[in-house]
This record gives sequence, C-alpha cells and structure tokens, in this order.
Amino acid sequence: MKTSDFGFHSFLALGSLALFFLVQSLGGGYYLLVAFYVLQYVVLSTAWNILGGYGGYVNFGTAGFFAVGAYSTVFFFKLFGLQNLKQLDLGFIEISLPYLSFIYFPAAVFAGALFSGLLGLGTGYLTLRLRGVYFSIATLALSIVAMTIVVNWSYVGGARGAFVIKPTVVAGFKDANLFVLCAMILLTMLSLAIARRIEQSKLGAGLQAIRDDEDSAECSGVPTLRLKLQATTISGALMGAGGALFPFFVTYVDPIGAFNLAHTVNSIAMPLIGGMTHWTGPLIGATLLGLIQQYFGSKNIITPEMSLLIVGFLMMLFVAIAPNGLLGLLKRKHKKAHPISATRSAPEKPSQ
Amino acid sequence: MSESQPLLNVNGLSKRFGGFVVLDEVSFVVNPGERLGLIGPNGSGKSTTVNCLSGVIAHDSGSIRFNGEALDGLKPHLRVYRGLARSFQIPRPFSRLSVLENIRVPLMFAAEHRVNRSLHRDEINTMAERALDQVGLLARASDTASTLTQIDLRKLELARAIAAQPKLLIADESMAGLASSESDEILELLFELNRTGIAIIMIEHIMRTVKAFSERLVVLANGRKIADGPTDAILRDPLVERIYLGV
Repeated sequence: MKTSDFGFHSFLALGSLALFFLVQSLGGGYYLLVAFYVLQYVVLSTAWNILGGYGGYVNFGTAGFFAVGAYSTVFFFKLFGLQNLKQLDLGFIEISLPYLSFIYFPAAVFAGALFSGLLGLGTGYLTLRLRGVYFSIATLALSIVAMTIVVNWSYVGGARGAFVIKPTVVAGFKDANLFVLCAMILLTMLSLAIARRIEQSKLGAGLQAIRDDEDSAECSGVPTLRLKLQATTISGALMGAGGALFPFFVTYVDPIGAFNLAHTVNSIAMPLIGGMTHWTGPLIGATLLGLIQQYFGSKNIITPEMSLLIVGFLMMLFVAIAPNGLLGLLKRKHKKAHPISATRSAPEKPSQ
Repeated sequence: MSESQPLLNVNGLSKRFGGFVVLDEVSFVVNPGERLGLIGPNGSGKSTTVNCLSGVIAHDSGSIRFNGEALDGLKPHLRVYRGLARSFQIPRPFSRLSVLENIRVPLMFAAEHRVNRSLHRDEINTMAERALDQVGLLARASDTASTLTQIDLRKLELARAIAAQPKLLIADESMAGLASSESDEILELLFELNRTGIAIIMIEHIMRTVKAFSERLVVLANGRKIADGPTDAILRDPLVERIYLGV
C-alpha cells in the first residue's frame, strides 16, 4: 500500500469512528439527523461531481436518481412483504429480528445502486451524444418523467407516499437509527474512496480531458462516449445507493420528499462551493453547506425555500469570484504565500 | 501492408453541408514516411479533409484506407489507435491540466494500443517527458496549459499528437499566426518527427515552409483536387499558379 493510500484510508477510518462516537455520545436524536443529512449530501455531491466536476457534464437529475434508489427500497419492501417482519426464513437459515437489518440494508443499497446505475447507463446512452446545456435539460426531463411515473404508480404509494418500517431492534446497537447512520457512514466512505480512485485513474484523466475539450480528447485517443457512460453509471449508482437508505431513516417516502429540488440544487452547489477538481471538494462543500442549512433550519431562522434561495445566491457568488471553489481559493492563497514551493520544479531531462 | 502500398489511401472523398459541396471526389495517397503538403485557398476544403480523415466529421461518400484497413465510420479515437493523429488549426489544449498531463492523456489511451501492451505509470511519465523534451517544453511540464504562449501551444499540440505514437501526423496549420523565426522552429520540429519515420501531411499557407518541407503537394480548390505531384512541378503548374498562387 502506498503512503498516500494509507493516509487516505486512515483518514476515512478515523473520521468514521470519530463521527459515530461523537453522535452516540451526544445522545443521537437531533445530532443523528444532522449527521445523516450531511453524509447523505456528501454522497450525492460526490456522486454528482464524478460526472459534473471531473467530466464537465452538468446533471440536473440528481433528485431522479436519488428517488429511484429510495423507491427501489419501497418496492422491495412491498414485493417481499418485509414490513413488520419478525424473522426471515431463507430456507437454509432463519434470521431473527435483531439481525434483519444486516440483510435489508446491504440488499437495499445494492438494489438502489443497481437500478439507478442502470438508469444512469440508459440515460447516458440516450443523452450523452448531446453536449452542454442540452445534456443538462435531458437529465432534468428524466427526473420529471421518473416523478410522473412514481406519482401514478399506486403500488409504491403513488402521490400519497409509502411507509417503510425498518426493524426496531438491531444487534449491537442500542438505537436502530444509529445503525442507519452507520450504514450511511460506510456508504459515504465508499463514495469518497470511489471518487478518489477515479480521480487517480485513467477514467479520471479521460474525464478531465473531456471536460476541457471533448473533440480534442477524442483525437487524443480518449473513448469519450464509453468514459461518459461509465461516469454516468457510477454517479447514478452512488446517488441511488444514497437514496436507498433514505426510507430507512425517515420511514416515510413520498414523491415530494424523494424528488425534492433541494437534492439537485445542493448536489450541484456543494461541489461548486467546495471545489470540483478534487474528491475533498464535495466533502468540504457538503459539510459546510449541510451544517449551515441544518443550523439555521433548526433555529427556524430560514425556511427550506429560503435555504434554496441562499444556496442559489452562493452558487452565483462562487461562479463569479471563485469558480474553483474553496479549494481553489486555498490553492491561490498558498501560491501567493509560497510562490516558489507552490510551483513544482520541472522534471529533469529524460534519458534517451 | 507491403512497403509499396500507400499508408493512406483516400478515394473519392465527398462531403456536403446541406446543398454546399465542400469536398467533391477528392482522392490522394500518402506513402509511409512521406512529407505531403496539402494546400489550397481559403474554403478549398483542406480543414474538412482533415476532419474527415481524423473522423471528427463523417464523410458522405468515398473511402479512407489506412495501413490497408478501411477507416470509414470509425470514431476518431479508434483512428488514433491505428496510428493516425492530428493537431488542430487553433490549439485546443486541455487547458486546466498541466502540460505534462496533456501529454499523459494520449499516452494513457492511445500509446498502449500502438505498442500492444499496457504501460506503467512511470513509463508513461518518462515517455511524456521525452515528448516534451522533443518539442522543447520540458521546462514548462508542470505549468497549466492555459498559461502557455501561442508558439508553446502549437508545440503542445504537436507533442500531444506524437505522444499517440502515430504513423501519420496531420499538422493542420501548425504555424498559423507565428513569427518567421517561430515558424522555422516548428518546421524543424516537423522535419525531426519525419526523420523518426512518421509520415506527415502539412496543411499550410506559408509557401516558403510548404516548399521547404513537402516532397509532394496535393492542391485543393473549391472542394476538388486540382493538382497532385512533386512540389517543384506543382508550384510551376499554370493552373495552380492561377488559382492558388494568383500569378
């Protein structure tokens, strides 16, 4: 393992443990909600950034992918009759109530990721020949189409919504919601690890080339359509995985909540504010913006609508004065303070 | 492919934009290691020819065979994998990436196909630095591409094209807008690349450099080929003199 990998994995492990024990020591409740909310946005904005930040393709369909994940959980709960189940008989083994969550959660995340990933692949295949604003409009349309389907699909609750009653007891956890938080922490870490891996990989390099000049990238050997499809699929899958955990936490899902415009706006604003060229950008943006929104929301200082207005204003501000986000500002400041060390020395002449 | 076979065989290439015929049955060949000049007045179809050859736009009829294989319908990146690379008339760098990263892109994606094996990260870096050294940009390897001067952008275009390890390089007006001494620098660079065995199609308006560089000329006018032959003979051709040189 390389030193940088060791540092990254240590950061993830320590960060996860610290967050979990902090929330537990504070008694869960409101703090648990704040932590879940922020982590959910770290996942969504990290997922959005894979296509939007690295590849330069602005996806306005985050809410659609998220909702598909959420509704896949609702769908399977109804399909397999999992509501209020006391034990699960798999034929070769019987799983009792305290252990049901260990089956439900990974299965829900997998299903949510699978459906949203496939939706991403399909959407990408249909829309990625479009460029710029046309692609964005197509993704927005996708969200509206998905919402219309859900609203008119009574099996998953239609416009009224549906309840998802998760197991009330989880082995090893005194509060079942702490287990939901734990699952969200794991998903967040996975998202960050995937984003970082992409950033350092051939896929990341290709996406960055596409972002800067797609024709030029294609003429440099980058299989642009294939990479964009990969990015849309991964991005969609992560958004869906985030959505799949949502019903377990809120226990009730309706189209207005699942397809909330805030998911789309925040998932764009957070990487934009944090910085879109590095995996830490969405993490910083989602943490800052998420905490601020929760704080002012809890004090009744701002309504959710007002919160969106402020986010929109911040987005305009950052686009105008700091298009590279807070990370870009920090880099610029560092360059000014250390003009020599900030500029890497040129490599030595290679041997022939 | 046998030595006597042309590297590139363009046969009856045609392209229309609506009712406007941009290319009309253009045919020519490029032999391995050859230096070919593709010239013609503005609007003669040179850039469309380059775009059709590289796959950026699809031609309507005719065929393009490269190294004995039909390229018709292949996407641009697949043509690069087969050894056909191009530079752009107006430099189109990956402006937010560093100069070195700009070169790493074709090495990561195309060079592997050219050498038929996967390349290790260190190997890619070494090859990228070598390509930059070849064009004299090594000292600027860590700079962001958007900070480069016009001549350095031209060099970067060429370095990125050659990083794909091509058999044929199409240099689309690589000297446009450069001072005379800078043009000479690019010209020398193209000669150096050709000495490594890369066939080059030079599209250029500067007749001094076209004459110095090209072994053979293909002349286009109004989308049609009007002449094809040894440089000196073509430049003395009365039709070329009248249509292109305005003599």
